[in-house]
Amino acid sequence: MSLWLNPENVTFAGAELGGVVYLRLERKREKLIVERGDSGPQALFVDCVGCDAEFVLRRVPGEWETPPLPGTKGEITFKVARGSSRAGRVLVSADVVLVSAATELSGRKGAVQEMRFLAVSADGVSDPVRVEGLS
Amino acid sequence: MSSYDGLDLFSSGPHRFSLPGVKLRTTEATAPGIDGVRLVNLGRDVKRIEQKGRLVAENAEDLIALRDAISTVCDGRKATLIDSFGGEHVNMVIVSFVTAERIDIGGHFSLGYEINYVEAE
Repeated sequence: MSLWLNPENVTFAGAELGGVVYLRLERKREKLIVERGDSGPQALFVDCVGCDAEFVLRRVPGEWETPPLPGTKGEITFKVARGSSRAGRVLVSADVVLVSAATELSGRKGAVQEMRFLAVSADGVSDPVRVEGLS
Repeated sequence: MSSYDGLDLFSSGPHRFSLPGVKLRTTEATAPGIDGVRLVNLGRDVKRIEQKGRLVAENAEDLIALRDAISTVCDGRKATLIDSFGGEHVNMVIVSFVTAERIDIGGHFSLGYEINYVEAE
């Protein structure tokens, strides 16, 4: 998992998403295969089938804002740096589909919205998450 | 290494054999004044062996070739099966070769399968 606190210029489908607290990238598998043979107790073959990349974004939504509908497809982009300086900044982007947008209310934090985006690979083989260095 | 009809068909991935015990076919008859039963030995029951495993390749074409190689020997002919322990089973016929519905694609291309062998006369 990668976790980015306070990412800059977060956009989805061309619109800027303000109030982002953090963004994290989760890599999940659809199915785990573990196969053994007759030679002994240890696994002889292990493979992860169906790899998903999911962005989870937590933000404080605007007062009159309505989130996009689940199923909306677009590109998510944001800029992050290793530390507080602007050196080593990268642009992270991916073609994604919004799969959920839920808002919860807590006494201390107020309204917090969690949006989940599942990344789509261009060809089913290449990693859908692109990381590009910024000068 | 296991084989069927002298062919290395299964070494691409792990596989396991369920090895049978021995069962006799008998008929029993009783008669007045006899303790126990009169047992007629009709011979050893048919040997059935089940093999479960996974074919593994680096690409879909190679995986299909592995599957096709096993399909080719599913022709009703008798052949010798060598199991993982070196056990030799003669006159075995593949009566079913069933593969999983989908090819699993991860770090490799792989396909689960199950083969059933029956000892022929």
